[in-house]
Amino acid sequence: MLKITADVFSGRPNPTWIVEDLDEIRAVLSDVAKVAGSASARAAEEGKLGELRGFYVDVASDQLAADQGLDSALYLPFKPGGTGPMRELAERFVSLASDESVAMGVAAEGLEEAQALSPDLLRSFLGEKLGKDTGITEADANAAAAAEEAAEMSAEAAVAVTCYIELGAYNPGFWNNNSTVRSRNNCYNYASNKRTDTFAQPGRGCGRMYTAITCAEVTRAALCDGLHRRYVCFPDSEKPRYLVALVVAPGPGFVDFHWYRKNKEGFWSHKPGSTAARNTDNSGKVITNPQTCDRGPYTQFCGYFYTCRSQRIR
Amino acid sequence: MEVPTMQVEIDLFSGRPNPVWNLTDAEVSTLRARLESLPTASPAALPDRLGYRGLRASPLEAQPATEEPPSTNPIIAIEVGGGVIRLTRRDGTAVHLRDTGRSVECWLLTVAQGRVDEPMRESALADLGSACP
Repeated sequence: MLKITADVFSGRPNPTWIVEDLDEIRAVLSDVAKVAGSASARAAEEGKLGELRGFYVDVASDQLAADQGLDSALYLPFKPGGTGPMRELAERFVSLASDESVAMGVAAEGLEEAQALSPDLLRSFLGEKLGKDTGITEADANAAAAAEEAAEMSAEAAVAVTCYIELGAYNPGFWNNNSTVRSRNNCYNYASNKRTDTFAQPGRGCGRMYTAITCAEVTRAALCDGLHRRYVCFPDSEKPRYLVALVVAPGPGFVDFHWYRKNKEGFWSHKPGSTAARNTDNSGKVITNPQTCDRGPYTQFCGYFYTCRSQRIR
Repeated sequence: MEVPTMQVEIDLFSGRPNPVWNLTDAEVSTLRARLESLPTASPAALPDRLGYRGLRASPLEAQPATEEPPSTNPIIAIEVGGGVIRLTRRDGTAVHLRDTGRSVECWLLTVAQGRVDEPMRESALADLGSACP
């Protein structure tokens, strides 16, 4: 049994989650050993209020810890905005906060419902702490409306609009390093930047999943989940608002949908099903435009959308 | 009644879940025999792209790994694709085999007939071109 506690609060109990899978525990402790130079048995808590200051790691089996040359109770300090092995480890810890492991943590600490963060809130709260200073907000303007063709465009498209979106840092490690996260989260999870471990399907979150795989129907399902078409703006309260693209493989035979997300670095990235997240297309080229990149059988480009904080996804 | 011991997943989709079916005991034996006849190979990557990638066979386990360390180190995944087979053990180590003529891949896709959507299966077979008789 491995208990992970994020040292983030001062008044209320810190969020805790418990990992029981032995293989997972061994893998995590092996990663902890790599940053063990900065670990100590219960360091003094430094760092600002409201920041993620570090993680407590408690291993129930002395042997598992000793196998890696570690104490069975450790404190790993975390620096906001840091990079490198400790940041990757922090992301790994957060990726282990599944609904099940968070529930076990709440039970083990004897917390009441009012005191405990829900798993979703815990993940997005900590994810935000990790992601601090690594994403940007940008204007997404419908420049086409300024063109001479505007007169021939639909009323909606012809209106010059500037929406604001967030571009997150490209962070494939979060999705790829943990086999549970990698195998149970698909392109839709990745584009939305929301881990559910359910291989999320458009429309299932809102209760009306797609009934056919066509641009129109998958679009309908995504809008039902709460996404907006591009240039239909979200307010700041819905941050992060990611710019994503939907494509479809129309068949015959191979029928499927796929999503891409734009990153702060200027390229687009994606996660084909259970495989690794990457920023390259089927020809190995970094994706600068999802409309023109090599998408294999996903030949139909359906359009761009914005995700939002309150998006339902399951 | 036969209790299935191994499931096979065709890895091709990105959004939709992949199709999955179970092997019969006889088919598991055949698979084992086929794997044992193949030469080992140095580590190589399996296809990793949008579209059909290959197949993954895994034993259906009765218990997750929450007990004290098991004394065995069984194979937990058999990944097949693009002429490469990767056998992964519980401890994370892997052995690679050369799927000569993509024969194991062909055989698994052939066995899948009647158990998965046929046009989808044919689109996967098309990826192997003339490799499958």
